[in-house]
Amino acid sequence: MTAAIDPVLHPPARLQIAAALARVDDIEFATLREILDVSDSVLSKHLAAMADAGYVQLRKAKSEGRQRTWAAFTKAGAKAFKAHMAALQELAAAAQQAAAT
Amino acid sequence: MKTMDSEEARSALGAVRDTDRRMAKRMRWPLWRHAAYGAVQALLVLAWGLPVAAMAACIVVAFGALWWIIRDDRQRYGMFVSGYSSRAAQPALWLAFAIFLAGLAVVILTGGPNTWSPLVAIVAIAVFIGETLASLWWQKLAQDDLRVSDDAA
Repeated sequence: MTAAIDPVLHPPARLQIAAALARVDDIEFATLREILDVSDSVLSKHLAAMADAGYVQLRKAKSEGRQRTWAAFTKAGAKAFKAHMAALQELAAAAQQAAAT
Repeated sequence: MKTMDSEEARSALGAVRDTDRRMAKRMRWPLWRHAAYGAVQALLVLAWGLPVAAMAACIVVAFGALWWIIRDDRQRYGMFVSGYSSRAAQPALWLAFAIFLAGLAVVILTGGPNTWSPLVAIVAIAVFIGETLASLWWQKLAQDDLRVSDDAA
């Protein structure tokens, strides 16, 4: 086993946040919450942890009289997600290969 | 270093596929949105066949429309997805570039810049149709990519 599991992306909720961010340029907090079907507090907590790790950039912008939070992957975040996915696929493939032999 | 067993890895990959499936439901845009993108590209090609003042106005309008499309996407859909966001959809992005450059080349090489001819209008219409179809193809490729990972679940 050579690929490394990223500790920041290890929690399932963070992995799902990362999977959504990988598909967009940026996404609004409420939209992300609806897609992932999680509570405000859970999403806030995980986004803050990902931002602290330098994986997510959070931006506040006023729209239709309300302050909204936008999230986007940083370059480091996108790179870490790619590496984490490769590690997961390697692990799953190795298990499949072991079962086949 | 974090460790993980293969069962956890499979479960994590399943969660990613589930997110992809949810994203696929969101990543759909109406025909008018694809046509708006096509219109911006057509306007930028059309500009080259117009007198300098009209050309400048046309370019300003095109970039203003582009800014409006991005802003509207964010307000209406709660996210912005550029053409570069999906690797699987890049053939459609390259096709869109090729259509734009071909249109520009025809306008500049046949009549020269800032020279109006009926051909400019015909090329602009062709670019509008081509770019709209390329945008629709982009969406299909991006959706298929998300569904492929769903099928693998």
